[in-house]
Amino acid sequence: MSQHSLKTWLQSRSGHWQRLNELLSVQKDKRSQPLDEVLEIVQESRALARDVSLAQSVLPNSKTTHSLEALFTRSDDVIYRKPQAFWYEFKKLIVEEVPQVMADLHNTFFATASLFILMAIAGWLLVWNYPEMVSLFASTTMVDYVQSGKLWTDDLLNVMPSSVLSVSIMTNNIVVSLFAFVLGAFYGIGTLYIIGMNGFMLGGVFAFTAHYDLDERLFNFVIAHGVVELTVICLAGAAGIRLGEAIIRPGDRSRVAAFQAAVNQAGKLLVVVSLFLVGAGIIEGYVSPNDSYPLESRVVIGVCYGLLLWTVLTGSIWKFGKSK
Amino acid sequence: MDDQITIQSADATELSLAIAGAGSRSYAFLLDWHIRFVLASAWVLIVYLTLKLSNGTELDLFNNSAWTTVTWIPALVIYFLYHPVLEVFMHGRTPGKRMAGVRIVDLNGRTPSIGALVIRNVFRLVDSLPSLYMVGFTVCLFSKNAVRIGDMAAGTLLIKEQRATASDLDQVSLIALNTDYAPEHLELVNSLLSRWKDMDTSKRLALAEKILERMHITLPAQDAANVYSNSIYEKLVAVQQGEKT
Repeated sequence: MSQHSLKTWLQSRSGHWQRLNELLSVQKDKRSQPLDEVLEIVQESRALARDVSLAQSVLPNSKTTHSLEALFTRSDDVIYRKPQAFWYEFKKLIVEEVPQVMADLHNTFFATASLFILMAIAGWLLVWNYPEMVSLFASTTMVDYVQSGKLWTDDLLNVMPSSVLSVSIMTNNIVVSLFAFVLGAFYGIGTLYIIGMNGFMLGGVFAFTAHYDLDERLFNFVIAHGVVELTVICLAGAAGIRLGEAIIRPGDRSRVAAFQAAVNQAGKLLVVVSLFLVGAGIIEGYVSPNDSYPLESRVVIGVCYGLLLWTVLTGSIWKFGKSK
Repeated sequence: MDDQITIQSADATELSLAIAGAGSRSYAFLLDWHIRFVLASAWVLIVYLTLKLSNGTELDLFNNSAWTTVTWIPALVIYFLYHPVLEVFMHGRTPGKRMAGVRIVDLNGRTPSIGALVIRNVFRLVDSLPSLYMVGFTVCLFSKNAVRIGDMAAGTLLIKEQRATASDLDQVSLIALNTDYAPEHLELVNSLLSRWKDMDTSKRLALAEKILERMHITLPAQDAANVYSNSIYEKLVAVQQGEKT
């Protein structure tokens, strides 16, 4: 390109670049932007794409080219940014995507739940035969409570109000579930550890309380919130194992691509189950430690909440609504 | 020279983006950490002082009362949701990232989706293991595009943000309107003037002399050092503004 042509090009285009920069700078609330200005941004951006290509060839590594590239990156981002339709996306996630993920994870979920149950049996057997082994995973306070014929949950509401209890429990449960999921990044081993340990501890604690005839009272405490909590931990574990599988057996894709796809797919499940953990936390804070709820009502709450979780995850709740 | 990633826009325009390495990432993280720590602490302090000044109650922050909930929960929300919330609302930026001049983009160079931003933050649980982000930092040092596990999971990366300011584009206009000199030479003048204050005096003078000689512009008379330096600077500005020299 001759000097003259270069000058002519710069002269004819620089005003357009200034104008585009101006339009992008005042673009605060995209919904109230006048239509003609939006169309102008699109037109100027398309023209700028050609200018960037030309600048890259005639003025490589120049400040002009870098400025034009930066301006183009900004306009391209504004034009192609996905609309943030939160509620639409959320509905699509719950009604369409999660049931698909669930159908896909069905077998992995049952394998994870089986591991959890097996480890619970192992924990039960170990502590039933060697009660002192409970100190491997139970705190001294917990052991002292049980040995004095009480459950550590008996004084929960005296120690903290239900609201604080609910928040701390739900936070803890969500963190454990997220850990069960993300630790799948270590070839699934981290997830297997979390699932195995949780199953082992549950079985062990039940065996220890059984030694002091407190297992029924523990069941009484656990049943209202435990159905959903334990299901969710197994679901998060299944999602984590899917991550590990993607890294071990990526198929035709690269490991990173397979990992990304698995996170994208299984992660959707975590959004929904985390919401159910909020409900489980509220039950555990308000219902489980409150003696005025009889066993029957606790069982009804636990089973119904568990059924709600299952029907939402499998999508059958939406089909039920349609068939009516 | 920074590592670059080449992306292609929908118009098939190829663009190179400078990847932010472990240093820039850590710098941005430290800035953000201080900001969220100060904000969370400020909340605790406000509740404490409000209670003390309004009814003279000295709040025990650890006694598990209802006030403890009011004090700690918002503070923890500020601390732990700082990154995901701000990254969504600031389109891949946080105040710390903005100060460090970096930004999160997807593999097409655009603002990542809300889902991707949430995923990269959930994976902080792994990246922060065993402490002080050791896993994340190590992975970042050795991975392609200098990303941590959270970015790999979400398909995102951190780039050094390029900004076209109005003054940058004004300079381009000056080059366009300046009919006396070649655009390549004017580019050099602009570049030198933009770095003038940061450069060593002897080096900037040597560079300026070379550029002016190449443009066939007569150099000012060799005077006292500071006078000569000022004359050279004024000459460069005159060239940039398109004034006859």
